[in-house]
Amino acid sequence: MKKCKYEHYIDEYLLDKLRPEDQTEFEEHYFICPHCFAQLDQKSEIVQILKKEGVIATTEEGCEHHHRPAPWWRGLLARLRRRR
Amino acid sequence: MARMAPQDKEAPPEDSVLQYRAVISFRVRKALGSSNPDWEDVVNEILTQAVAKIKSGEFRGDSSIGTFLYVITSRRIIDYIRQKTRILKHAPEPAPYPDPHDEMEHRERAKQVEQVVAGLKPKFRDVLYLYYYRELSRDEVARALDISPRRVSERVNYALKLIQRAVRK
Repeated sequence: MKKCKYEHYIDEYLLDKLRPEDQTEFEEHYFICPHCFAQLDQKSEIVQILKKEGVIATTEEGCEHHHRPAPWWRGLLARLRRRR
Repeated sequence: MARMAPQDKEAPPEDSVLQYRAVISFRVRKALGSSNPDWEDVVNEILTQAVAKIKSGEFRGDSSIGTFLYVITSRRIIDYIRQKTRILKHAPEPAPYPDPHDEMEHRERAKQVEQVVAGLKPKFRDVLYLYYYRELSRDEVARALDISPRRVSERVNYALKLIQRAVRK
């Protein structure tokens, strides 16, 4: 299927990262674009799971009783925070 | 999980509007929160209002029916939030009860996602972790892992495709 020019908004929309004006534009768009809506609908629950349930963090550490990020992530995140 | 999205067609107002139930529901749940028990009532009100407006000739076809429904949906969401804000000033409502069946399905899918993620190569898992869980931007993930933003997108899309395939089964 041909790629829609709004398709790259999907992830950021689901993660609430779009600027308000882009969010409004995209919301209006997916009411008239079956392709984007199908993608959005499919990704929505998966993103919620990845985002909220710590699924990736848990597997990264290899231990379900330990919820802090692995040490090398902490260093990486600290570096990113300094750059922001 | 995938549903067919609406298409504009010549059809009775009820039929045309009902084709948009999925997209309206998505928008309302996103704005109100999926666990808000009112979302279904709000969607039904929007559908009823839209049919009435079409029947009364308010929809003249200047825009597409999708855009017309988008406007009605957005206005209803704003009204709902205003109304709730007024009510909440006086008395907080009890927390909604989640539907046990929906909860069970969601837990099952979460387990499937977790299994797929656990089986991914670290380079894909790292990208998912930083992008979705830590919520870094695409550029930040690229800088952190010393790869291009395009490569970040490729890895995210590949991992999501595997997850979608597993969840759809």
